[in-house]
Amino acid sequence: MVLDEQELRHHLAAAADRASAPRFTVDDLTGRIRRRRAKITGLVAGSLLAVAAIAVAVPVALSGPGTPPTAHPAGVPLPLPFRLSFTVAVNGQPRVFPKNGPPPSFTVTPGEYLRIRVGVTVPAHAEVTTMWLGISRGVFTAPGPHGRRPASMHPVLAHTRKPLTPGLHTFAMTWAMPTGLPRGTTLWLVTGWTTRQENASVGQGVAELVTPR
Amino acid sequence: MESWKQTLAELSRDRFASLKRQAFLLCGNDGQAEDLVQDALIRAFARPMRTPRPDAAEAYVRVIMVNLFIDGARRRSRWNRTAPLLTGTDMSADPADQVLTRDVLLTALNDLSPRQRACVVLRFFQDLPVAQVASALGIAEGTVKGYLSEAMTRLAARLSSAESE
Repeated sequence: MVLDEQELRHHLAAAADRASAPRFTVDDLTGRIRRRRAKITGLVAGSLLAVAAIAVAVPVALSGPGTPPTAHPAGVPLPLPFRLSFTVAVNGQPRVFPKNGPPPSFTVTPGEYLRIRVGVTVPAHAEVTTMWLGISRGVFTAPGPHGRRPASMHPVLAHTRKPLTPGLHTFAMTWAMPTGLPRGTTLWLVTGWTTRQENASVGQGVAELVTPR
Repeated sequence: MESWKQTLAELSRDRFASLKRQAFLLCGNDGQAEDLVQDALIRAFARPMRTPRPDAAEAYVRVIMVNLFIDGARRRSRWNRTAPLLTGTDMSADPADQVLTRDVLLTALNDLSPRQRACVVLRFFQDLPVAQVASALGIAEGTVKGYLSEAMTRLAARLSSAESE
C-alpha cells in the first residue's frame, strides 16, 4: 500500500484534534520564566567571578621565584590597574561587548574560515606592554613571567611586544575552525595582556565561538 | 510591560492551542504534550531573544519543542532499558492512554523512531519544506528524505494492516 501525502496530512490533522485545550496560562509560565531567568543571570555572574578569580590566581601561581607571591585572600580578585575595552567582528559580523556582561557569542561551523577583527581600546594614562590573542578551550590564562605566551592559548593568532599606547588598536586575524568538532562545542577567542602598572597580568575571554547544536 | 511578556501574551491568544496540537502528535499523550509545550516556552523565553516578534518566537518554540522531544525520547529509551532491572512490573497503564491507542495513526506513529516521527510532523503537519525540517533538526536534507521515506513505508504498512483487521 502506498500512503498518499494528502491523506497523511488529513490523518495527522484529525489526530491532532484529539489534543485537549492547553491547561496552563500565561501567568503560570511568567513566574517560571522569571525564576529561570534569575537562575541564568546568577550562573553567568558566578562564572564571571570565577573567571576573574582564575585570571588573577593563575599568573600569581605561575610566577617564578623572582617575583615574590603577594598575599591575597583566596578567591578575591586582585584589583586591576585599568580595564581594556574590546570590539569583536567575525566574518564581518560585529557584536556588542557589554561593559559588565559576558563576551559576545558567534555561531560558527566546523571547518569555517574565520576573519576575526578585534579592536582594543587602551584608556588614557595606561599602557599595555604585551598582548596575546588566540584560541582556548575555555581556560583564560594570563601571560607568564616576562610576558610569555599564556599556557592555555593554542593556537596564538596575534601577538605584540610593542607597547600599546592609549587609543584604539586593531588586530585582524584569520583562522579556520577545526573540522570534526561535535555539535555545541565552545571554543574561546581569548587575550592575555600585561602592563607595568602594578605588574598586572590578565587573561580574559573576548568572544565565544560555538558550533551549532 | 517587558517585551518578552508582551510576546508571550500575544502567543497565548491563539498559538498555544496550535503548539499543543503539534506537541500531541509528537508525544501521542495529552499530559506529556502539555509538559512539552510548557518546557519549550520556558526555555525559549528564559534567554533574551534578538527578535521578540510572535511569529519568530513561535517558530523558535516549535524547534525547541522538537529537540526536547527527541532528547526526552532518548532519555526515556535509556531509562526503559534500566527500569525493569530496578523495579517490578506492577505499574498499570493510564486509562487515557488506552483510549488514545485506539487512534490508528497515533498507534502507527508510535512505531517510528523519534527522529522519523519529528520529520513526519514537521513535514506533513506543519508543512515545512525538507530544507527547513533539516535545519530545525540539525541534520542533512538527504537524511530527512531517508527518514520520511522509511516512515511513510512503515505508516502505510501499519494503516493497511489496521484496515484489513
